[in-house]
Amino acid sequence: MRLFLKIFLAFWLALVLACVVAVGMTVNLGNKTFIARWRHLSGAAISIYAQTAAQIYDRRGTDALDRYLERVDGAASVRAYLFRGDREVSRLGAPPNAVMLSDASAREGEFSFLFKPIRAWVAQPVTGPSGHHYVLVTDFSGLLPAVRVPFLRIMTAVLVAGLVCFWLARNVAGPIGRIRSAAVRLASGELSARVGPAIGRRGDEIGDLGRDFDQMAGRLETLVNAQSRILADISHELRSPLARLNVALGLARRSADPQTVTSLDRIEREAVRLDTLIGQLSTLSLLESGARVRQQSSIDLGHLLREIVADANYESEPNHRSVRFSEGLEGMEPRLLMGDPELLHSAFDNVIRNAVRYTPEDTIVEVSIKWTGEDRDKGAVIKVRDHGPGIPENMLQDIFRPFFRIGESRDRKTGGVGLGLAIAEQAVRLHGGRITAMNRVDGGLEVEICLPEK
Amino acid sequence: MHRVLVIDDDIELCELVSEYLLPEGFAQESVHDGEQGLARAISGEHEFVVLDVMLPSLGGFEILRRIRAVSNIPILMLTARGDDIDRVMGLEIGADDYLRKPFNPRELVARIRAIQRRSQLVDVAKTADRKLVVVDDVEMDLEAMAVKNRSQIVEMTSVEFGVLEILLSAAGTVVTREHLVKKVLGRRLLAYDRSIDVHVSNLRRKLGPTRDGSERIKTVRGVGYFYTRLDPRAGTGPVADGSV
Repeated sequence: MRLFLKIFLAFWLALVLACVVAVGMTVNLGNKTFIARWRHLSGAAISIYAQTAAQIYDRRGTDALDRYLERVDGAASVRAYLFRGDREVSRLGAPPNAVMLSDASAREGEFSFLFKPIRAWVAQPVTGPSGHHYVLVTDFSGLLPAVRVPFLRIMTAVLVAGLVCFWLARNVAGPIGRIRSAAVRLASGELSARVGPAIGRRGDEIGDLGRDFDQMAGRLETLVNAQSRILADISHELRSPLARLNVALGLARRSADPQTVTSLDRIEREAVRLDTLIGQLSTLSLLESGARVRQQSSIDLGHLLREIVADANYESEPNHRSVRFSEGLEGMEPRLLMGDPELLHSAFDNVIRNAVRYTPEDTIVEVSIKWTGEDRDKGAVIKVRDHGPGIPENMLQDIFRPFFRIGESRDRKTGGVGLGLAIAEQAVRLHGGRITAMNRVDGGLEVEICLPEK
Repeated sequence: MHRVLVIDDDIELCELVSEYLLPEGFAQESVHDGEQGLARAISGEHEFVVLDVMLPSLGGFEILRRIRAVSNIPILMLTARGDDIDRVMGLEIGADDYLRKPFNPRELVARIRAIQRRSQLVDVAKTADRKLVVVDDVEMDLEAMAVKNRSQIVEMTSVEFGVLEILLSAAGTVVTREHLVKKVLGRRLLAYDRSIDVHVSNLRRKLGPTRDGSERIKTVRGVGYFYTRLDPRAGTGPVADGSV
């Protein structure tokens, strides 16, 4: 449940309960005080009534008794019934409660009370002039103070409590929601995300949290920017000596004998490799720092993939590996997607090249594209699958980190420096998509790229 | 000997390039400072400028802008890899082509030659007695490398001149982007290379619309460009299939 609802409901419920208990206790307490007072008062009054009633009955009979009792009722709002044994001698129709009470009182031979909510009964045993034992049961509910539950007041209290709780809950949950959304933006790479002064001005712990968060985000931004600046600086500074090296190589070639040319070729190959690495480094730092798609145009993904697959296939054929479309492209209508064509090209290219690098001889790297979803999560899913050894499960996330290597040995044979997938990941992320890797049950690694249409 | 000016703050690189260019028939002057480079570039003593856009004092783009304000000397700029924004910006300001750094010196020589070939083509045209190309209100004097639009002189760089010459000669038919890049810049069209499009857009800006207000150079999406003829008697009209 959302924090807001939790706080709101918990506090509101607590307040409502407190209300109900308070009201209930007032009502009960009122009764108890009343009873205590009545015990004293009624002792005398009711015994007088009882003796009088017994005398009238003994001397003048039922009719006179009834008249007397009705007079008492009329004058004092006290309804009374006279019992002998378990039989009512008055003819006023005693309710069951009265009968029960008279029984109890007759058995114990003493004054007894029966209190029910808003009803009160008193039974008074008495001996008439004839020597018979009677019990006068008096219903003096009419004398009880009017106990009315103040519904309107309770409703008002509940409503006010609700408003207070709403404010309280929003006051706590609202800023936490804002801090959370800032954290989400920060995590997704928007390093300038801050909670801002709305929370920062608060003097309480939440204000502290907001300020601390902003401080942390600021520090993070500085660090990340410094890192990508260093990366950019390094790749820039490496270029100058490499530029000189290239020209020097060109000069050396002019006066080289055939044997030297072989060596120069090797040097040039390494220079090209170095150049590629520097290029990838600077691309990566640009992607990491820029955090934006550079140029937007509509791209026919199928066309783009077909070109990359054809190129990759052409290049890997001499090594007895091939790259094919396994499904999805034949007869597919061209569908356009907004993005940076160069970035997407490098993303697909890097993933496919990586697959070619690890797939064994005489196997096929399979590429597929599928358009998925309706409405909101409409987009394309591109899968690249090789038949290589796969990757240990716990490292599936790590392969998209720059310079990540599965083994310790920098295996020259596989080539590459471990930046291709990192570039692919950044490029896909800048398009709002995601890239994941998984080991296929039937062997090989499958990299999946999901690109949203918008 | 062709005189080439190299503006780059890397002194050692300049020395190496100079050593490389000499046997290729280029006499190089090296300048390592922006202000001084600008002064030398507009002195009229060189046939070609190689300019590093990442110069410390006066930025490379600023120098480019100031040179172009007064001169149409061919300029090849050296850019960092991956900075396609720099590339497009440089071409828009008026650089003729770019080469990313680090470069292969063979490639440098090839680029310089390709752009210089424009002036040699002019020589060929002269001997073939084809001095003028006239289409509607635009008149190209191949000998003087001058373009007149409604008798007004239009300043343009040698690459722009080359693009316009090809488009005008084939006016009314489509010229592919590959063909333009090969003929004018002397290289293969690479994926995502928008250089030729920037040059064409510069040409459009300089020439303005035709008399009836329509675009002079029309784009055939994914194929290339064609120059519209207003006079229906001349030419065969646009060919959409790109068979040039």
